[in-house]
Amino acid sequence: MTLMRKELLQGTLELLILKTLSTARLHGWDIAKRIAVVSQDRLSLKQGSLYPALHRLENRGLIEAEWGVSEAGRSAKFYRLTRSGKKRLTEEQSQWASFADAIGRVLDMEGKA
Amino acid sequence: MGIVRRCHRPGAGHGGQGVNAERWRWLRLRWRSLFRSRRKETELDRELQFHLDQLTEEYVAHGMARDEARLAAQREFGTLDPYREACRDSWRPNWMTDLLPDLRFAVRQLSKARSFALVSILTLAIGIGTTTAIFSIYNSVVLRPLDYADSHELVEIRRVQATTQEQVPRRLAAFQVWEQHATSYSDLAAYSYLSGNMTGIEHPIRLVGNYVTPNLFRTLGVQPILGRDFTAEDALPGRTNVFILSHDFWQEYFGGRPDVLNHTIRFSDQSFSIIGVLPQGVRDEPDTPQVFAPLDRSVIEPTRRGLMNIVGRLKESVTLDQAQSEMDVLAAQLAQAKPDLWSGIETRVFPMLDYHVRGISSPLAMLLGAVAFLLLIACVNVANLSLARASTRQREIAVRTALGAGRGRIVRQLLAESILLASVGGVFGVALAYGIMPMLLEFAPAAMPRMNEVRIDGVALGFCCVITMVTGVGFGLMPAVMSSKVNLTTSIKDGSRGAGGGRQGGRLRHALVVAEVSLAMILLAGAGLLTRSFTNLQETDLGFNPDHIYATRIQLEPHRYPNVESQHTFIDRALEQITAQPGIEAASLSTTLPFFRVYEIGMDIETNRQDPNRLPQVGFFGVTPDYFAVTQTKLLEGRLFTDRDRGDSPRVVIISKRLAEQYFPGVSPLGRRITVTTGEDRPWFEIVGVVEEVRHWGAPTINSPQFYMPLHQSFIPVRIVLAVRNQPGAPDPAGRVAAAIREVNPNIAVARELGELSTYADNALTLHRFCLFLFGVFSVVAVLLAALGIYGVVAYTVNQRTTEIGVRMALGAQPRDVVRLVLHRASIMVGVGMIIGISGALAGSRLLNSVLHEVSPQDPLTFAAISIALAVVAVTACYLPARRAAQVSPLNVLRT
Repeated sequence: MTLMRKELLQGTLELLILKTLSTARLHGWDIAKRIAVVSQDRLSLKQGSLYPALHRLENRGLIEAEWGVSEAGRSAKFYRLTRSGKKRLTEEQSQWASFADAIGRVLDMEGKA
Repeated sequence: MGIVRRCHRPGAGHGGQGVNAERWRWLRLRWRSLFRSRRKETELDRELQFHLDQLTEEYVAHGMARDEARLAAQREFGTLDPYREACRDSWRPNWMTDLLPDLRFAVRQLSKARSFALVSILTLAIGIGTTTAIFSIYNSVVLRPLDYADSHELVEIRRVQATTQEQVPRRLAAFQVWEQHATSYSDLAAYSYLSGNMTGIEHPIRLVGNYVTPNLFRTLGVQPILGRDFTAEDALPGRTNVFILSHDFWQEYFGGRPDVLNHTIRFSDQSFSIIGVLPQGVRDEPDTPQVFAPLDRSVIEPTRRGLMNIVGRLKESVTLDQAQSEMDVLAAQLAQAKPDLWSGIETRVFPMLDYHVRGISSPLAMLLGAVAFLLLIACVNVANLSLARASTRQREIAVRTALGAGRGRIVRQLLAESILLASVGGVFGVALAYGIMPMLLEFAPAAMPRMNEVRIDGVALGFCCVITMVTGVGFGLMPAVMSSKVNLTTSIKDGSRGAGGGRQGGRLRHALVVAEVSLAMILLAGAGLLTRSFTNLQETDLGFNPDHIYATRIQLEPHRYPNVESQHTFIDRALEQITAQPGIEAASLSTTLPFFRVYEIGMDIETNRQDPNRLPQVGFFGVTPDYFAVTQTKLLEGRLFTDRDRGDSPRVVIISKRLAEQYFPGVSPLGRRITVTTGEDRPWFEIVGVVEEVRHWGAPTINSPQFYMPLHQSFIPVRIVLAVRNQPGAPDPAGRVAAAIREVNPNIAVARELGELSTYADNALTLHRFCLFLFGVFSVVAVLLAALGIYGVVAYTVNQRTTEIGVRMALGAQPRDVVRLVLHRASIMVGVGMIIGISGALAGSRLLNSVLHEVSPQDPLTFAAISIALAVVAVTACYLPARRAAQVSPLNVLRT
């Protein structure tokens, strides 16, 4: 299994975080874990980009944070989507889909000439 | 499928209903980040530590030893600092945290540019201060609600002539109809005039006040501070001898004593017990009522003419329009039922506040507009200065940009400077406003309503803050944006005389001068028109000479003077006694006098019968023979009245010039007969004289023509006007007049001071004088500021072109040519500004109409005069720097 290129495009990273948070209220560690598990370890989020991204999203009001208790009983900072975050996610998702579709079509074209 | 678009821009627009909440959250975050940054730091540390711990746990779970796992985790994680830094970056782009350092920096910068800062602050202080002062007056008089509970529900109801919209007297009958049928009001109240002699004290005084329906104070939402309000029982016939006192009268005559309720007042030879005292400020206007008594409807005959003032309180659910349409329906019904009383008359419902300030609100709004122009000029001027200053800072800005400051950051920082300037200007402006307020009120129209309520209140200060911020951004933004566009290479390389904001900056500067000139032109046009108007007013022939005339009302109460004989006896004896006093040239008694109430009455002509329903309205005057000696109204034709025109002699009248011209065009009216009564057996009066037209309310107002009748042949009102012509230099004749009247009847009060007609005539002009004064001051300041602006820009351009001028001179240009060169450019700017200004003034001067007197708002003479004046000032402002340019020594310029 090859690891995908390390630097995810910034917008993509945020999309991944938003999507992950749309399933549950999570802390940073769990977000990274979930993305790794779901992508079968092809996507790995480095903490160096994860936390700044989280803080950026929080600053823009797309997600909000609160302190809670982790499964292990430790206090951790949990994030969840806000209303505008949800809206943003749907927008980004459809844009991504159309982008991926477009790229796919281009790559599938068959040479005629 | 079109072009592929990648739209993952962070912070791209996302509208919808979430925006507000989002804005709010954003602001909260900014706010928090301003103060709680330390807490945020620790939270961040905890968050990262948690992650590190989780990683350690994972390694442990994979079978590593705990210590080893921690080391491995830390190795993978590296040092925390870069994360912290990255996270902090995501919080930081925050103008609030930048603001303080920006302001500090601005203070340092400005203290280095003292004269720039001083001129800017001064200019802004003048703009903001005058605007705040005028706004305070406008706010206090026109905007602030009246001092009654829920005053927005209060209305004044008036009847007006359908054709002319002039008010007609409200009668009790009308009030009673509305009282019974109108459903829009929770309360409807009426009051009429009350006056009489208060006796039983050493010197009788004349009391004035109102007869009121018992619900008047309840309608207004006013409670007596002492005693009780009127009740319905107080208005029953025979029980109406009760008074409620105004606060001022209570203070003045009873020294504010709380036991005043046990007192009685002797009024019109009847005893009135005092039942209450009103709080201060209720109906305390000039010519203020002193006492209030219940209106006895059985005494005021239902159909008799009488001035009823009607006020109502709208029900909560009823709008003004609904009330008005109900009144329209009622008026239409009544016009059918009783055409004699109601036809041709409309009912108008006015909001009480609007009604009271109707005469003053548009002049005040106009002044507010004028002062806004002044503020605008101040802003333009400071913008110009900032622009010139910015061009000398090219290098500084270029260096900042080179070091990584974004454009927004530069603009923000320059804006901080202008907001700082504006704020300091605002503070001085408020001080200025407080300083000029007493002077403004000194000049304010004597009859301006709510004068005593004028103050700089929270609303005005808030307004001042807003305009300060707006001006700060207004004059700062353009120059800031302009100068943030720098070309790094050229600016840093040759710094000293950089691009100067470039071509665009130059164009902006010129545009600002044009704006300034045109605004100044508009203000100057206003001032010019008002000056012409005021000169006209002062030169207006009033038709009488108000100097040295003293007048007052006296009360011939019916129970003392029940018949014509007794009235005539009093009149003759009183005049005899008064003229016997020293220092009095002439004395008269009359039904009225200029500046006193007009009695308008329908006139008919024997040889030219008028439609009985549309009788021409004339001002009616019953006068004693010396009346014209008192007023010095000129006789134009025929004769004046003499002592022989008595009640039993032939009936005669004197008419005014306009009446004669209007109804007897081209012929002498002498010998014709006219009358002011109706009915078949009415007496006719022979015209024996024509006198000069009189402006009853002073120069600004044109009134109905006059119709004079000997007092002995006319009806004699209860309130009669006593006028004397004092010898020049003699003191106020009140004492002598009072002594004379006392000789005739000691129970008739004469005011302690008599009104001087010249004061009234002068007061009639105060509104015009006020507008003229303010416009004059505004326009002079505006012209000075504009001149300063022109001077600054031309001087700057000359500075920029020194080398070029030097070269020209070296190549043989004469100083004359250089001056022409500079003046040419400048005069184009000034010319364009003046043309725009004149068009603006022509379009806007109609707004002045309400205060212009016999001047067309497009008066060509005025426009020509002010154009020349402004051109002279502008050319002078250009000439000074132009002359300096001509003195450039080519040798010096070329050597450097």
